[in-house]
Amino acid sequence: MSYTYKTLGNYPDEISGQPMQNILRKEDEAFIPLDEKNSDYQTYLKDIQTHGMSIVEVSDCRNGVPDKSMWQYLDNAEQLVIDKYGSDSGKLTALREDRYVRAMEAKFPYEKMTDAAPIINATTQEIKDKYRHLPMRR
Amino acid sequence: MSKIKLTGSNSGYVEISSAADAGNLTLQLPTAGTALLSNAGNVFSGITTTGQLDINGSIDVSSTSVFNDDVTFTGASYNVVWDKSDNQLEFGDNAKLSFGASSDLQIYHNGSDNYIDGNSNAEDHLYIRANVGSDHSSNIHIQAKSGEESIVCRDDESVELYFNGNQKLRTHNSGVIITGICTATSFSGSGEGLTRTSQYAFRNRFHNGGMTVSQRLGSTETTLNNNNWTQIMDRWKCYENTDATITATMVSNIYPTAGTVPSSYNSVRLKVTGADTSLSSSQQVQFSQIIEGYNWQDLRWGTSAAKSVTVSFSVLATGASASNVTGTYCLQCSNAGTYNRAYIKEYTIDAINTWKRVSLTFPGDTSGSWATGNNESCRFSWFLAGDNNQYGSADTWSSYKTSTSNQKNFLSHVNNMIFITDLQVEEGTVATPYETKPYSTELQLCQRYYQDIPANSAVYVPMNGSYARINVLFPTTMRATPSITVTPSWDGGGATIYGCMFYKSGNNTMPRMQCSSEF
Repeated sequence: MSYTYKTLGNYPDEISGQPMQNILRKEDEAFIPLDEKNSDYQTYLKDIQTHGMSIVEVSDCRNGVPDKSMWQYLDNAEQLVIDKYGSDSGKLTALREDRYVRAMEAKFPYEKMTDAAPIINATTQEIKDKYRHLPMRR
Repeated sequence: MSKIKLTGSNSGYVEISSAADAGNLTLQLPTAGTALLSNAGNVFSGITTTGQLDINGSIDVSSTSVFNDDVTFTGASYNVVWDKSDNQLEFGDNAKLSFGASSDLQIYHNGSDNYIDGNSNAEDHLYIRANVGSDHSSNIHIQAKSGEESIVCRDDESVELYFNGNQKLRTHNSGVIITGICTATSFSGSGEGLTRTSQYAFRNRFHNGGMTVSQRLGSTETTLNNNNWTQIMDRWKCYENTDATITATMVSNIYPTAGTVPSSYNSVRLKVTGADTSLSSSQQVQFSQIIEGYNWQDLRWGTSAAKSVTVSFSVLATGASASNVTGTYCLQCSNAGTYNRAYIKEYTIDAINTWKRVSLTFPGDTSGSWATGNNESCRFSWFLAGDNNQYGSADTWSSYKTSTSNQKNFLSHVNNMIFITDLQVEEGTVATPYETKPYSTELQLCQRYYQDIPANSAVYVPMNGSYARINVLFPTTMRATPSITVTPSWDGGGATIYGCMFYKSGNNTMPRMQCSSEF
């Protein structure tokens, strides 16, 4: 059985205004914590690896900081940040750097070169220069 | 007859003489043959005979006697022989070596058995002693079989009792040392000085081994998910990827009562409602529990100090016929999470409708990675169908394998049912009786992994503005931050291992919250 998920945005200001530390599993509306020791979260990560980010519905980039909800790996992640915080935000640069570093280091979800190459190729030279100490990805 | 005839040689003479005061002497001769006889008081010396010497009267010897060949002492019924060639005094069957004025001690063989009999008066004792003259540290060994000790009495030390050559009981200056199980119908004394090398209470590292807690399903029969895990009773789950259909349910009371009836009132029943007579590659069914690192790490698995554990459980199988369910089954132990180590034990279900208590010992794994802390550490899986791609050998640690090729296909017939309960895993090589815990204790142990908070049991907090909020403090700290299903759904929320918070706009009814940090 394959699940689909939805990342949750921020709490209302009346509550705390902070990013929620959960994602929602849509089939049974289970709130899944962003905790590697939670087996449902482990399943979430495996599902992303197996099926790609298309199984995750994201309408909000939370506080714009990459986190364990994995919203930052959506194809439209940059657009979500631009929509919420503007194109000149440092958050956008932080997002691009995070994706580039993980792609260069072959970390989740860019273990495969076929997934990493588009990220590496689309990264600006400025960011590449900043992280030129990283080993060449082969 | 009154004639006397004397004959002699030419060179000698025959002399009949007597002392001057000897008085009348009589030489009485027999009526036939040749003999030398006299009345009492005659003295002869240096008598040599080359034939048999018959003495028909008593014999009185006043000096050391030497017999240079066999000597037979003839009894009324049994004889005793000094056998020169055997160099031994031989007592025939029932000929006794007897001591004491009233045959108080006798040693003999009656033709089949050997006896040392004390036959004396009351309070006259039998002593077997070493070191009588002086203390030279000699011990007394009693061996039922030559070379194999039965009882050893050591000078100034212990007395030891042996079973099959292995010491089981030894006296000690501070008491008695017993090696193995001490079984008694009762003990006396306060017992305050008793100590244990392994714990007695909470020795069962399985949770809910008696199937008393079923927060998710209650006693509702549920069909196992195909190609996935299904949580059934608390802490227990099943995996199946076959073409069969299998249900699981908690069964109360014991059915039937033949065999070794379990201690627990409940059991889990797995029932085949759709058969799979021919398993395809990789198809399997397993019933499992994963044990948390905190509850396994003291066994030191993955090190040279790894300790053995023993799993015991009660099982009953039933079906349309015995052959549908009887056969060989496998219990597998593996390192959860990593799953690159496994140990398989086989057991048999050899009768239908009969409870059987099974005990299987697993030696500690001295290698492999066994997680600690709140991570998944050890999984035990009972297989109802084996994965033919992962058949392994029994009774050895290996890479990950599921079962042996002897594993029975329990899915072959509809209405095959298996009942399992009283599951226990404990340190050591001995299975102790199933440890029944109070329900409240068992529930609390299970709530570390799953909590079902009913609707309207939480505290409702109206917020400023348009939101309502609920805060819940968990009755038990959960293993990890739980996943929470809120019914009916609320807008958002979050949790920690201690509690959770959810919010929703407007006024709302308090939802049911199912919190899971199960492996």
